[in-house]
Amino acid sequence: MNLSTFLVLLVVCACAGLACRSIYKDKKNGKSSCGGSCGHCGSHSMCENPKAFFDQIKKEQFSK
Amino acid sequence: MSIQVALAGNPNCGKTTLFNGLTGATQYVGNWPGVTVEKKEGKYKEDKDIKITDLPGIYSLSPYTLEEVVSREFLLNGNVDVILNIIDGSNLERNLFLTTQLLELGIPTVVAINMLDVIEKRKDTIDYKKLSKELECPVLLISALKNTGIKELMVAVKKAANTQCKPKNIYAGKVLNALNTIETSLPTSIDTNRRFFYAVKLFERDDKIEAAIKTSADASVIEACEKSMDDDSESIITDARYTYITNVIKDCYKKGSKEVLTTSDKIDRIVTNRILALPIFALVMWFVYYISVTTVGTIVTDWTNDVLFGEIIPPAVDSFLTSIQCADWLHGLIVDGIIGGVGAVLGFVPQMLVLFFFLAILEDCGYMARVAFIMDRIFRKFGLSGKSFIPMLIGTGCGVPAVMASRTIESDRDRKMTIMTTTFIPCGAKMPIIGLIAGAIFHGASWVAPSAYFVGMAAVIVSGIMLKKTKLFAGDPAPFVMEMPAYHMPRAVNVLRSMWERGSSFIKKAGTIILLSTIVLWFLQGFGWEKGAFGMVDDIDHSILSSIGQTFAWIFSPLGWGDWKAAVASVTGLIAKENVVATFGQLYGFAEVAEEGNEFWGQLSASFTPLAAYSFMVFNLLCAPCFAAMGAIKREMNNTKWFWIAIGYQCGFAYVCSLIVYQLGSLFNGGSFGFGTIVGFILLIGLIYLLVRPSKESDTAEVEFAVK
Repeated sequence: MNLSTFLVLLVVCACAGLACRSIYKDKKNGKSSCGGSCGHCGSHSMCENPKAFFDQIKKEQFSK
Repeated sequence: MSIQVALAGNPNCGKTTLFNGLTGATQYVGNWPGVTVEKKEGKYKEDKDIKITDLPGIYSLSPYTLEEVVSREFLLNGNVDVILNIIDGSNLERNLFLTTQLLELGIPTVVAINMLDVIEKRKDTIDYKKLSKELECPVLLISALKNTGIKELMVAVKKAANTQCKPKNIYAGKVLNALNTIETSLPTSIDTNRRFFYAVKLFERDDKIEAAIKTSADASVIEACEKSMDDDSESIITDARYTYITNVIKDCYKKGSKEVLTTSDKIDRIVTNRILALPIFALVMWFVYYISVTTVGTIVTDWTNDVLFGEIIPPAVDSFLTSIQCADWLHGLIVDGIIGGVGAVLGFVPQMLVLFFFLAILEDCGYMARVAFIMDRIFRKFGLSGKSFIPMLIGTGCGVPAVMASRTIESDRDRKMTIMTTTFIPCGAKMPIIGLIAGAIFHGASWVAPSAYFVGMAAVIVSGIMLKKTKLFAGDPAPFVMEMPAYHMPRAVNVLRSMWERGSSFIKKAGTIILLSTIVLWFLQGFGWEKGAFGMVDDIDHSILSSIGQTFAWIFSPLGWGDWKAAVASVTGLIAKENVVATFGQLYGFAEVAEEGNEFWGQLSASFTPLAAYSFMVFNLLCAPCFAAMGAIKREMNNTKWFWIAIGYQCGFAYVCSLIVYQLGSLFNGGSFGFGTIVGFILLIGLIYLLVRPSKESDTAEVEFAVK
């Protein structure tokens, strides 16, 4: 493998690594691949932390 | 000292616009009710000590809907210093109904009458000083949209935060006596200012409040009042509120011109007309898809495909890699794999941006709210509430939030059915598939792209009719009450932001999921067993991908596209729908043969008959959505069995529809009558039977809520 191939491969690997990191970070933050922007969505915490959000609702709505 | 302000008001009265104006936030402002399902927090941009919480739009403090639960909970337990009650000045009477309830909370309240511009236009007059005197709280006139009266409003809010407030009493006679009796019987631990509100709620037999304060009212007190007034307690309170409101606005509000229709009313007379509504909706959507995919979108997409990803990027990268003597396999990965795959997807960005631009205009001007109303009339006929249309509206962007939005549907059956059908509506990610088929196979025929939207809509309606007739989904539709917002000129900021957010998310996806998929696919289609040894293959038919594809490609033969490449593209579409196009881009040698980008389209066009291509598009539009949306379905169903029922139904329905399209379409196009045609006819008859058969009534109503 010549040096140029090695360098290009390095760039490709870096791009793939960044893509993986971005997907992992989004998943960790609970973001979906939704077409809308979470920060501006009126319902985003339903997606980001559905458990906490609906635990609260469940507690209020269905506690008897 | 920090001040906690709660923005409360009816749906679509301008709370989010005011919140954005006050905090400098960029919350999504939709011109239909229900944009805010949860509370949002921010700080007043001119005084960071003032914390502002934007609550969902509500009509009352009764816990009938999710929005009301969220708002009431915050007002009662969120340490609110001031309630900023936004009132739509063009609909004073109904908006004051909530105000009367907020004033009972014993929290200092400032009333802001919004839509000053609309009031002035109508030549209505509101004596806000008199109203302030009647309500015993500050009342100001504002226009959130035009930023009028906002500074004065915040001065009043600051002032109110330093005042003490007593709950307002609007009741008299027997009702007041009953309320006083209940209030006296409340435990002493309850805060003095809240006692009156709780007394009213206990009088109304609000079980959530009873559970929260672990007390209930003396039933005999309520029953005696009900008996003497010949009405139930809730209606007695509602009646008292409206009597009060009628008296208040009699003195404070004068209508400028009677019986004069507003511009919105005049437009609505046409666009929501019983006969014209549907044809107008069909025409509007046809126009939107036609412009986006066939005309304006195509011009820019053609340039992106032909010039940018045809004449500029691939040759430049190709010559660069050749000049540095990069290894052939890496050269192939970059040019044929990554640029071929990702480039094929990115080529459709212009079409998508144009589509999102038009959809944002329709949403922002208020037309989409009318569509929900129009669809309610149709949906109701087969037992589905118009509320189900809101997720479908969101679904034109992405299926994930669309599935999530189904949470606002109270009926479990309707919610499940909406989850199962909402992804039939083509989302942004399916747009490249539609654009590819319309452009490559049908040479930009104007009917193809709009028909994709109508196929999705028809699939929802047909599924609704069929499923509602089964015992699993039988039952009356939930009532759908929705206020029609006034039409207004779409705001450029809103439209461009909505378009960019959706578009940029698509581009990001191309640089992440699609990029990784193309690398994996390049390996699978570039390596395999040839001449008895494993290595890079010259013939793609000897690749690993081909071997895998050929094992299941036969399943799709009855649909007209039994070729392994199309089968593989459909399966890779499950990762993300754009992958269908990326896969074609790689498998049909986008960059390899691309003296101009359309070479890939030409190769594709040679592999599909128009009917097979349409059948392919129908299948990919209706079959199981991408993994992200499937995850959302699983979460919302909260039940593995129901998840598989949903996915199974979607795939089965897509298969049946595609088969009917291809087999019967072939027959009508001069094809021979064969076994496939018979199967096609049987399936069509079966579908018609399921549509027209009498419904199975369910005698039980199951209510469960998705919580994971």
